[in-house]
Amino acid sequence: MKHIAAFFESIGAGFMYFLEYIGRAVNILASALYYIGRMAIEWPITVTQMSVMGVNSMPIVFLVVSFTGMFLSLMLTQQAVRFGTVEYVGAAIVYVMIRELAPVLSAVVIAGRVGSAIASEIGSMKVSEQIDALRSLATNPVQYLVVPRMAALVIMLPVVTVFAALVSILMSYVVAYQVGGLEWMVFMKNVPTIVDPKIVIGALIKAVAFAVTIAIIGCVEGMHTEGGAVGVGRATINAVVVSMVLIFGLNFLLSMILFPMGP
Amino acid sequence: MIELKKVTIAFGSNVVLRDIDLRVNKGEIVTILGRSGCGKSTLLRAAMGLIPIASGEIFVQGRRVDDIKERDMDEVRKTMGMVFQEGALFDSMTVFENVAFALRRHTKLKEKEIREIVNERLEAVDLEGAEHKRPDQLSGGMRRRVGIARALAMKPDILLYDEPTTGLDPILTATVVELILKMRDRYGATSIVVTHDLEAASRISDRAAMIHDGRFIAQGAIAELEASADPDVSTFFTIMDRRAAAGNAKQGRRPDADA
Ligand SMILES: Nc1ncnc2c1ncn2[C@@H]1O[C@H](COP(=O)(O)OP(=O)(O)OP(=O)(O)O)[C@@H](O)[C@H]1O
Ligand SMILES: [Mg+2]
Repeated sequence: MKHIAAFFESIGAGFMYFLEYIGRAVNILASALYYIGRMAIEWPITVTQMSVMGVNSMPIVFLVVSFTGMFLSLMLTQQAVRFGTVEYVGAAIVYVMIRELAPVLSAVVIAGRVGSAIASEIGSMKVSEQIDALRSLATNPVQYLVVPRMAALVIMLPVVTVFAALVSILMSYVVAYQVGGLEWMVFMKNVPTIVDPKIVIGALIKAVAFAVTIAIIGCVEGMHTEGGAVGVGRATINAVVVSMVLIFGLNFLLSMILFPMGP
Repeated sequence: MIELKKVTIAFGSNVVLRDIDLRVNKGEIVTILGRSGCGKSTLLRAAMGLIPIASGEIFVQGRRVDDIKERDMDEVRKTMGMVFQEGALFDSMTVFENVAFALRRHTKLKEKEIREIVNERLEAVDLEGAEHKRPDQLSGGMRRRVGIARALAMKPDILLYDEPTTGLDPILTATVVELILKMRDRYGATSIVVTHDLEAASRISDRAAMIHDGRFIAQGAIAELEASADPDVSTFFTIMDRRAAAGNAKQGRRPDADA
């Protein structure tokens, strides 16, 4: 009996923690939106963050999406050559890259690089009382720390996603050409019939949603860091794990909402 | 003017301060004494609105602040300054940027005027020439003094000092004591000073209050507290005196030299 009670107690505690976490996230998001709504954005910090987050992340994002596009292309081209459906390879890759893989993979890489950096930077400011020092100098930490990071990510992640899609499509074409001898015209033949502007807009909406998720989770973890250096490490790991899980979950949800009809 | 009325502060089930009453009038300097861990920093943090209080009321310049929004509290904080026990310097900024922080954000001063003010503040804490250093290049005592310069940058009406002289040599201690007095004499600052340094306390404070077991067990001039019959108060002073005596002995003076 004791075990059972303990089991339900731990579930209850977990659920309370979950609710508290959501409360914190909503709090920070609401506060950030308040400042964004009033255009009280620290542009110099935002611009710095944009280059740190977006520009510096591009090489690794491009590597990851390129290899993904290349393996997809390898698989599809090999099959298509056998079944004589080579004019669908390009359309399939372009469709799945823009709609799903470019947004998700870019976001996952950025969550690993940038979400962790946000959590560890804000977290170490928290444990060394720098957040309190900011507040004592009449500076709201959400306005000063969270808003610039969120704004930078919301601006940069869609840009990174667009370039990631382009790069991955190009690289998958290279593989299709090498493996199946597909010409550019053949590769692109069915793209216009399947790919329409709606999926591009959908991909951008996803990128914005992922950007907000990464920024908010990084900031929530950072702002509530406790327990010195170990706490900073824990916050950093949590920021990455939580935002990655949310990105995959959110992606499924958004795909259902944005593309109920499929191609 | 800053006033705490029946303030109780708890971390979870750990009640750190209970029914604290404290009123510091304009231009007054009050020191807070007490053993390590008794809640002195907690008291200052509550006065600054950095932590929530469980019950009671806090007034700054007559305005109740414990129940107001963070954004409104920021307006109040523009008239306050806090020196943190560990400095709490922004470690991604230089000393100059730390001290200039509030001036840049809350005033429309030109960069040249800001430079003048920052240099003047750094000079006041004997740190001229350190403005381009980063906090991790400073010693503990230097960091503490940068923290003081940063808190004083806007010439706030209310100053909260958390152990401003701990770890400073006697000459720097005297400099900081002078500075605290100057902020009062020249700008009319109202101050609360947490300190373990009884000599500094008796030089700067109009009044001292001692915390023990979450309550004020004594308030009055340092001399009055020293003469107190309360066993907890007299134990504190006996131990502090013995410590000071040991310090003097180390410096080659007879323990009772100034007695
Ligand atoms: N954030 C916190 N969470 C939980 N407990 C805390 C927190 N901050 C302080 N405490 C507790 O409150 C008590 C008072 O701490 P405080 O820092 O105010 O002491 P202090 O009087 O400033 O001590 P010192 O002279 O060593 O600086 C301590 O028992 C401490 O454990
Ligand atoms: Mg303290």
